[in-house]
Amino acid sequence: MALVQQLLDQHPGPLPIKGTFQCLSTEVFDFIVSGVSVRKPNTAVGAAGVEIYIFDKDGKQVGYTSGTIDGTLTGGRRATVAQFGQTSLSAGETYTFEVRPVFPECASDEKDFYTATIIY
Amino acid sequence: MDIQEIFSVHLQKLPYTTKFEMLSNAQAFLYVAASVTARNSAGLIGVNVKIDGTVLASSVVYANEPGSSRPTVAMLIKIPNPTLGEHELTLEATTQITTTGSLDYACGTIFYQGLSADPFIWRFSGKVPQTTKFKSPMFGKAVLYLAGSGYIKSPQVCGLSVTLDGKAVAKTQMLPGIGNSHFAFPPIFVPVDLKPKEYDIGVSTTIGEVLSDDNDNFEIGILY
Repeated sequence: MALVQQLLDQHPGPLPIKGTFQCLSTEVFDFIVSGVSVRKPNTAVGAAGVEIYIFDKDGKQVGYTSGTIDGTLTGGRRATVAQFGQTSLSAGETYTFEVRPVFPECASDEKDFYTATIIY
Repeated sequence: MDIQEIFSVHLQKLPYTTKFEMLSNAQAFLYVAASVTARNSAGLIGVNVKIDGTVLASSVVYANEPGSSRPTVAMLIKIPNPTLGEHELTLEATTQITTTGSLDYACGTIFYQGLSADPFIWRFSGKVPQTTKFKSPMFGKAVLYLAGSGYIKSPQVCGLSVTLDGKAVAKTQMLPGIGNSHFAFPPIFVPVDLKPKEYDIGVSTTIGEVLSDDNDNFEIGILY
């Protein structure tokens, strides 16, 4: 049986999105955030994407991963190439997470949806 | 489940090759996500995924706009006869019109299944909805994977959903930017509660306006 925990289930934007979770294991775990991204109009050509940070109770960053994509406005939103991140935390402890655009030039709104999952 | 990140790159050229160490002889699955660019005409673009020189699968998407970067339909690929030690992974262009732009990316992750039952992997192309059956060997939570592509005449929020015995258990949605242009939905990994029984599993669109044809690919997996 898999030990899997959903942090966001098709949560609509805009970013950032914040939340908390209770870690289920002391084992190393992997986590991923998927969604779409695009750069805002009148910004330089470049990458776009979505990232997720995990913080402990003291606000220290204890986990990070992201997904990136060509952010060219022509063509609109694209699904990010979402990569897994890996970390280990303390079982039973509560942590906070925040899903953000990877650059301030990235757009997001209520028509964008984000899914974030931990697989232990 | 043991998980191993094996590469994450700014994909500046194809072929791309990297070495990695298999950490176990257990059955293993490779998640590959990528974006590539259509060189000079519309058509299928993507990457063939090779391990030790053997093509295991192709992660593709149909690109309607030449010169435009597109994420491919990310895949879960069974690694045949996994053996401990060093191996070589290569991503190569699936078609002649596949190239890489300045902003293409790729990543790969291995899932080791240990002694668990064989995962259910369902890969097809064409129209949706489609249904099939699978037999769950377990009681409890599994990981459901969903990826696919499609197109829509007039851009609006749309998505794909997975049903088990007719009940929706997962969906992925987005607002595509261009009408009548194929696009890949964001791939998702989500928990799903199972019982030890046979299920009818289906893939459909969240709204009727989403279309798909033989150029669209779908990947559904259940990892125990």
